[in-house]
Amino acid sequence: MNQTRAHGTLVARVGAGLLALAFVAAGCSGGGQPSGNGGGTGGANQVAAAQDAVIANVTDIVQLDPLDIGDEPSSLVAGQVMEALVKRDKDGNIVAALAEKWSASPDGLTWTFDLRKNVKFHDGSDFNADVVKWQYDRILTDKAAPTRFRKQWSDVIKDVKVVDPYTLAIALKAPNAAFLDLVITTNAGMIASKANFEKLGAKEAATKPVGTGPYKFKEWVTGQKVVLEANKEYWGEKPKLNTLTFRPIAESNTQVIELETGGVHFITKLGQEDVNRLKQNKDVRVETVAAYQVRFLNLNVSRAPFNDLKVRQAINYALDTKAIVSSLVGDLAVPSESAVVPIASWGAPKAGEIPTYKADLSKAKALLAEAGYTAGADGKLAKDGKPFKFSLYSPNGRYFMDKEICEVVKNQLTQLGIQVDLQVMEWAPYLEKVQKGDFDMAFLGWNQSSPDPSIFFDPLVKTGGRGNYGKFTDKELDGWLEEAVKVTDQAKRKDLYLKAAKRVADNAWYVPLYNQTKVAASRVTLKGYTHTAAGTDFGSLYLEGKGN
Amino acid sequence: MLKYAAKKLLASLPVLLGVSLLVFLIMHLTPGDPAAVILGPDADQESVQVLRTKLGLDQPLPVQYARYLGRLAHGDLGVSIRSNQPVSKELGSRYPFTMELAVVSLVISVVLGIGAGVIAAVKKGSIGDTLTMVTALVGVSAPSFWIGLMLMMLFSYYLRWLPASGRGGPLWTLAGWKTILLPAIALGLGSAATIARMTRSSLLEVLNQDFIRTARAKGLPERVVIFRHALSNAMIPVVTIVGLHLGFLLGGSVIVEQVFAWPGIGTQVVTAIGNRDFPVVQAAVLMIALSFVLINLVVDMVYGMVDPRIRYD
Repeated sequence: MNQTRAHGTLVARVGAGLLALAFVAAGCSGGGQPSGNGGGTGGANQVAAAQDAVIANVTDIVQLDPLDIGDEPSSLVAGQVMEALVKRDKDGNIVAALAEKWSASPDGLTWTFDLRKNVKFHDGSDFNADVVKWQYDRILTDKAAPTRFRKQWSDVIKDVKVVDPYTLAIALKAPNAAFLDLVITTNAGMIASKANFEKLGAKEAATKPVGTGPYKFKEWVTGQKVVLEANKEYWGEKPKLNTLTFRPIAESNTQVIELETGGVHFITKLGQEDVNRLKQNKDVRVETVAAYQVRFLNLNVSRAPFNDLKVRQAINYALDTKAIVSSLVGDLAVPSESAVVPIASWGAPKAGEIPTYKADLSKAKALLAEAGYTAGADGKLAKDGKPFKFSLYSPNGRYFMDKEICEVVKNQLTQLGIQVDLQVMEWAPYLEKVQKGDFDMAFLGWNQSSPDPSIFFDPLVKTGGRGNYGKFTDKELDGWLEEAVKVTDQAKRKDLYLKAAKRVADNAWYVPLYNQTKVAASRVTLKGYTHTAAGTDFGSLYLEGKGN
Repeated sequence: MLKYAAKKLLASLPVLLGVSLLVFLIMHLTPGDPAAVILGPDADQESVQVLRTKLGLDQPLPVQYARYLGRLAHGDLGVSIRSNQPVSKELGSRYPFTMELAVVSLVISVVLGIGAGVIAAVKKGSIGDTLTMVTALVGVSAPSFWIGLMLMMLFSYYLRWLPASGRGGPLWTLAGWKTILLPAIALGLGSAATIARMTRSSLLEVLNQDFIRTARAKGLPERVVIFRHALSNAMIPVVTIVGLHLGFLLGGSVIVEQVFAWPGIGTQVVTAIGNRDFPVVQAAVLMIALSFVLINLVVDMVYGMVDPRIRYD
């Protein structure tokens, strides 16, 4: 009897032990975690009516040393805390920021910046030419610093000189009309406080950034939120919000529910079906705008079968890309004339300015016949006894509807008698494969934060360009592209880029797919934000009414 | 007992070493260059090569593994390739949240599972039994992320009772409980179902034994027969399952954390695998393996509490 009583109480003991364990775990994790106020609670009516806005980020930030920011969420947060010498306005034009004005020497080799005076970093230290030189030298030469932007900057910049405390002279290696776009407006161009860096050291400064921007960095609770607070001493228009909080929410379903229930005010991750549904919700505003992001099928011209122009043209005619894109991607894509230039760029060709390949099966078949391909008894195409077979590589969800589009492409080409070996891969191995040039056709995209055509043409189609995975080479085209970065007159540059876009289309190096749109959905109470392709500036945000 | 624990711990060292080698090999032999992923598709090959050298990825694998073990022996988990921050700091700040979620879901699954199992066993063959077991079958089969989304739709979207995601605060605050409930239930339902099935079958077996008949013949109330005599004897297999499930819940929280934007290591590991951030993945798997080993040790100890016939010699 005694023994069974002992047993009976043991069940209770095990239960109590488990509960105790729960509280021990809670104790481990409780330290210093603030509660409430939108930071983690979300939910209906929980966002304070005060000026505290919550933005959903797709992942947590990685770190905030501008020299090593390569991801969108970190860039978005850093861009509210730190500023560059120039910035992009909502229409994509370069305008003054920490530099009041700037000019290039007649030979285009020296750019002089007059810096804004009386600007202070959030830690009280002065903003001046010394700080800018210090940061630029870190990017260009400091052995201990991250090298992410080093080549991009040092390919263009020769050296940086302080002329006087508020004047900076940058000598270039060669004239470059896209200098501001290509270098100064990149993430590394955001100026961080030297005093903060020296006080905390590189590692800690990367998690506690100090800049001159409209918001001051307050805290980063890993995996939960980054809180910024208004910089009351901001040199420009003072922010109206008290705090701006970024929460990492990876799932689009979760982002949408948080937005609809008032847990967050602004989200950027939503699918086509969410867009349609949210448009019916009167508390929510959905905006889409063409981004500086192009999507295309990249053909590898260094090997058969796509080393033959006729075959490349045939593939372009064979695929009804407009229908594929409109049915699969819908509102989230804009069909593009050019594979290379985003339509929001001033260099984008207008409809009819460059040749496009409208779906035409008879033309495709004729071109393939000219290239020597004939259909066998089984309907499959072959040339010299070899079947028309090629590999198509697609990432899995990296680009909107990438895999699905490739499946339809395979299907349409199979009907023509072409055998497509579709390989859908995870991003890392996919990237390795494509960068090695080990593919026949690949679904690729090119994203930039600038609309300057050089940032798309030079890497993608210039001989040896860093994104020229299809090994394209056209000496005449290279010449035009080189000239286009030397001349400063935008009209002349535009003409050159139009010629280039036409040549790319003539060469049929790509199958253009679509221009990706940038989607955002926000609570209607969130005001002061303009949704454009150029950057995301939350400096003038404010909340109306109750706030959620 | 202490000697037994020490022996067990020592025996787990090769297991941990094996795990470290396995994860190291899987991560390094999977195609995909971390340097290329970090710098993105628009990076030039020169920059990628510079980063590879800096990260030591150009060294032969045995050298990389030896260096990794050397650092590990000094308690250094390395530096995250992606963020350049110490891994111990990155995971250390998140691991307690994963543990918190796993333990709360374990408590939920034990309470629900044993409760449902007892009801089903006692009322064997009744509608209640069938219903409980069918629900348990659904619980075992339904993926936790789907359960999570359904719970979120119901409690956050339609009823507006609970926040949809995030962590509101520590468990002793209302906001903390409000945010942990949904992910803990989503994560724990599967385990609750397994525990219910195990409790039911184990209890049914015990209920057929002679000493139960004796207890009933003595005129003891059914409540005492079930809870004091039968249940405590049926607990050993259940304790094993519960212990194992804490391990599964730790590892299985990855997807639920992602759905509920829970700040644990799950979300971190998913991102790290995608980015080939070796040090983070290796450390996270090692931490989970170590937890598993420790949990198993605790389960072994609990056997002795539940059944004094078990001795640790």
